[in-house]
Amino acid sequence: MKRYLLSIVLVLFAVAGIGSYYAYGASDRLPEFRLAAVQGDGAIGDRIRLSGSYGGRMFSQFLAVSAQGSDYDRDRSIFHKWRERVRLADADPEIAALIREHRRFMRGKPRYAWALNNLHKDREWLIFADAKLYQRGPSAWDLAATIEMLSLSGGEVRRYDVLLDQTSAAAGGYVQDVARIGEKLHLIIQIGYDRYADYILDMNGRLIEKVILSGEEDGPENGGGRYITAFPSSSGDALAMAVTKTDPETGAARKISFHRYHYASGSISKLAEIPIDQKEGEKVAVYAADDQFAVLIHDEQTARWRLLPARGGTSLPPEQSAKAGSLGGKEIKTAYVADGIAFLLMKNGSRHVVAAIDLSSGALLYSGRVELAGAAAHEEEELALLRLNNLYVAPREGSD
Amino acid sequence: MSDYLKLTHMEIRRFRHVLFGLMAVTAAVQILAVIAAATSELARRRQMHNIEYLHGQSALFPSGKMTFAETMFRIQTWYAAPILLCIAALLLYVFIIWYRDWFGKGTFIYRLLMLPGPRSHLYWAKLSAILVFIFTLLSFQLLLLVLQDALFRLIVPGDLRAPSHFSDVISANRALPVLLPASPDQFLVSYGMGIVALLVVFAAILLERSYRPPYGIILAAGYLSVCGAALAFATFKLLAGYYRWLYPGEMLVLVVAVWGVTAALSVWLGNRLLAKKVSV
Repeated sequence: MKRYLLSIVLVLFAVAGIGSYYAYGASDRLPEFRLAAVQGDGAIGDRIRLSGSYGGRMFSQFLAVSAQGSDYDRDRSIFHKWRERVRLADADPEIAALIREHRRFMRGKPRYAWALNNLHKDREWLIFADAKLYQRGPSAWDLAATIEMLSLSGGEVRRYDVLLDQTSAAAGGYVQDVARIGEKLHLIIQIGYDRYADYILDMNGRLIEKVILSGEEDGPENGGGRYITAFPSSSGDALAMAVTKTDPETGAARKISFHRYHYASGSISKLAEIPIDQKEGEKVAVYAADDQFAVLIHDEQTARWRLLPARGGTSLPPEQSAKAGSLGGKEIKTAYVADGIAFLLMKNGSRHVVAAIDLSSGALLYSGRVELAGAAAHEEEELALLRLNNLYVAPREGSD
Repeated sequence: MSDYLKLTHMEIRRFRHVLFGLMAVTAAVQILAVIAAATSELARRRQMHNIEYLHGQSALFPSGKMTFAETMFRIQTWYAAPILLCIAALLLYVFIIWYRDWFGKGTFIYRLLMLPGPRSHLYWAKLSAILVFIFTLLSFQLLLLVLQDALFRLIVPGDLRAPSHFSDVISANRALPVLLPASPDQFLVSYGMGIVALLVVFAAILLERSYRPPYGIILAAGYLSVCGAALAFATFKLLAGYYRWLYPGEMLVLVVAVWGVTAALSVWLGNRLLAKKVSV
């Protein structure tokens, strides 16, 4: 045994050193934060996830904080990080269900949440469409689409590559919605920032018609600075569009009009128009659902909004507002609108505060604050090292 | 088993002087670098006689006091240089551990190959010895960090320094997080990949030793290229998600399979060549 002392010592030294390092690493915990409900519906708080960084170490540690606690990027396994990178861990539940049901057809299709725009499913067909811009020459681009269709009754798969258009816009080519109305296929594609078009094809991939939804010649608004946000309807038969008209000099929003384009009739109806006076330092959030539209503007102190019914024809409702101070905060950092609720991330001193306001009544549905779990003695110190800038709200369970 | 342990011990003994030499150089250079950085920073702060500067804050070191992590941050090159020297020495020794038996004094490989018992013991002993060297040097680096922290505390007065987290000390130097990843799963994956690469090199060396020049060299170079390309494809293309038509689970299985098959093939080939083909 003595003869092998050198080898034994080296092996024990190596195991003890590396073992101690990882044992120490496992005990070296970063502070645990959580979003605690102060008042209101805790189920709303469960959908909220805040992300940012903790600065209590030499290098910032990225983390997410929710009602369940904090989740540091440092503590995630490399397998988890890899799954996130290849877009599985954050795959949309609807896409995950489609993958389970039609694994072969869904192979190679994007798995992130907004890829739902590229998919259409009805009782007969599951359809995927993607579009790309190919440069043909200086300032000349071809817009081409790939369409794959799976017959849900017979299992037949069709694939078409279609040249849709020729354009001078170098950006865009994003599919915003895919719909099937009878034997016609509608591809809503964004080109540039201010142009949408409905490319109507037959079920054999032949282009029948192109309807410009906004553009230089036709469309809901002409000229000036603007950008458009599209919101496909849950029923799949229409598209809501929020057209934000901006000041050509300052870029500030001046007017937002809501339009609805019906695939079957090809008609575009202007449903509402809201004058906006976006001031310096104010941010604008637009939201459209099947039954309502909302525009929320906020600066650091105040959030103000208007909520309109999506049927149109009614007069402009009065603007409602809420002060950060009345919601438990002092400074509004960011806002997000979903399901008729405004979610505000605020700061009150070193503490992050979240409020959820019902846009129709202005009532506070939920308020929560980030707390340090455990040792409360160092709470202020640790909270001051936290920088949460992003607010994510998970879809309501059972919602589309 | 006994033969394997004896051979492993023999390989470790043969490298002990170089190993202790590398440890000594690493300790000397890093300790001197820490002493130089700590004393010069301390002298600079004292020379300034400026309280504001003495407690000057920065984004990375918000307390404004001197920390061991800050000192490590300042001595990137000098701290990493002996680490790189150790890596280079071990990489070189991966080849020397085989070739010294052929080209050393006498016909040592002849005696090794004539030993009773399976020749695979020789293969595993050399592999084990290399791994012992790697992990011993890693462990020594960890011990040095603890000693250097104690030394830093001796040099810098208590009112001018703040404590450092060990993870901050590791991440302060660019070389250390690569060698000592914060998470154990990353450690296992990184060193697992390193071991597979070692197996491939061993197989290539034995291919070269098994056939006459230039065929041996061509076969070894070919084997290294094919395995290198397969592993690089699996790691940098498949694992990076370049091939969207594969589902993530399938990608992972394929990557693990490529690495696993490469490892198994290299072990099989190395042992087969050693048992049947290698000539003196």
